[in-house]
Amino acid sequence: MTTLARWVIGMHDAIPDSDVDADADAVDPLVAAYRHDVHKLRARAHSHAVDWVGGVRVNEPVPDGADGDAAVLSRPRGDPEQTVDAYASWRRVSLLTGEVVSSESGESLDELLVADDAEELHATWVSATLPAGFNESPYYPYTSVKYHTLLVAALLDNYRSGHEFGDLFLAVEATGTDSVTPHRTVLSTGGVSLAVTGEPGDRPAARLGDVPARSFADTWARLPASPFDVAGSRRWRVLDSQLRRIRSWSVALQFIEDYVAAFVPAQCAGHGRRGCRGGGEGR
Amino acid sequence: MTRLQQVLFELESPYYGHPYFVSGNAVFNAVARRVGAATRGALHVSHGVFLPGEYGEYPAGASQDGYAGKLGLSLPDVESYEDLFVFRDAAQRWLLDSRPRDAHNLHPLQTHGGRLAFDDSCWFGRPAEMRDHRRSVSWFLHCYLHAGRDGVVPVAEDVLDGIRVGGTRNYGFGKVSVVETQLVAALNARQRRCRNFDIQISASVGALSGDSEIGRSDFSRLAW
Repeated sequence: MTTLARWVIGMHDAIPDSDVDADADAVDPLVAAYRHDVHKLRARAHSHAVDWVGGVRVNEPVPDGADGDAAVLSRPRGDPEQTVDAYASWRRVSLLTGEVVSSESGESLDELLVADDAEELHATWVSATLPAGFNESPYYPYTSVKYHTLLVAALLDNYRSGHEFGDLFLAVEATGTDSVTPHRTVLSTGGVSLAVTGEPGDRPAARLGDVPARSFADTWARLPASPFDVAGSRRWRVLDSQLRRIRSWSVALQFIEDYVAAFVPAQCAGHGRRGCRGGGEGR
Repeated sequence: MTRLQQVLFELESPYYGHPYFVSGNAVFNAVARRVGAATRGALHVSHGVFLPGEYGEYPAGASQDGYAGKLGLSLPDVESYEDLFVFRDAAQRWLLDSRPRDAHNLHPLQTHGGRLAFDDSCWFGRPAEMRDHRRSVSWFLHCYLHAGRDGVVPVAEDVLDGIRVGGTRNYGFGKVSVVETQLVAALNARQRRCRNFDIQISASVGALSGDSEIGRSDFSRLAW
């Protein structure tokens, strides 16, 4: 089994971003955020990554420390350790099945890159399946590049609007709909929609905490309302109970997507469960 | 003087019941049918919290610190108030970061004719060159027993051993065996100040459902 050099895959996210703004030709930082981890989708470490893929500038550092903050939402700080025996691959391992995720997503990398509009890129990433097949680091195979990238973009967008990390909330979007707020929506699947935002408004929301940490279980447990119908269906309660156990953000968000796809029939999504028998698990 | 009996059960079969925890009522009813009326009338049982039998380190605030070996397989010694809560948080903060902690702490699921049950163990792969290519993580259940009067706790291990909790018990689901019990004779100054002791234990487990008042409380503590 190949041993991966630690410095290659470690917290490269701490790269200084001072020279980003100085570059007059620099693309919109949000566009760069969606493209910053393309090397992972090509199973390359950051140091071995190319700068251009398909005529698009990729693997640029993300300003305002958004990448580093998103990283510690999902992975331990400091030197990474190999957490899963004999597994050092960029393919993600599913938390739901324990299996390596299939590489047949039917999407191409180009589709994730071509748009030059940041909002369009966000919409593509929210529904993308290709990046869900890769992990953030082979040391942490259950993490997901898809949700790491969406968290990076959400943090960056919030930081650029003047919010600090301590001002941010996990907000539940209107249930039963697939409403998407550009850059802030970090998950939208099967009627479950979650956003990381500094302006939760009257939506149910819970603070992320003062500093970035693997705090998903805590934040989830503090939400004043569940994004799905826990009172009506045992399947949603099983999901809710599991989410109180998962501390890593990208692992948890990916788990919601996988669980909904595997166990929640389309008509049961969110609170719109009319006509849903829930497999006899309504009690 | 409050005497708490701390009990660690191991799951012997899949569990099909309340997903967040085994309610104290369910554990009480399983025990009550095996004991006399006097004990039945005085016994109180906390919720049972699920935990994986995994390596860990003592969490912040516990009386011991550092690496704790296979912490989930036995009851830690209780010397301080925080020791009572080591296993009571669903996030199980004692799990090691150097291992796949979220995968270990996810209660393994299995389907039975479309119904979701929780498995009693979970398998993980190991290096191909090892003779045994897989290792398993067993699941455990932790709860507290106490009584309003003396002479009730400790309840004998053979009374607790083999009780069944949750749904479809008649089909063999929800069987648990006793791994270890420990009597905590505890009433120090700090606990005396904490009058609503049972409420705190159940609150540390999380919400029963979305509209539970307890579930909204801020008992979940950031451990960093």
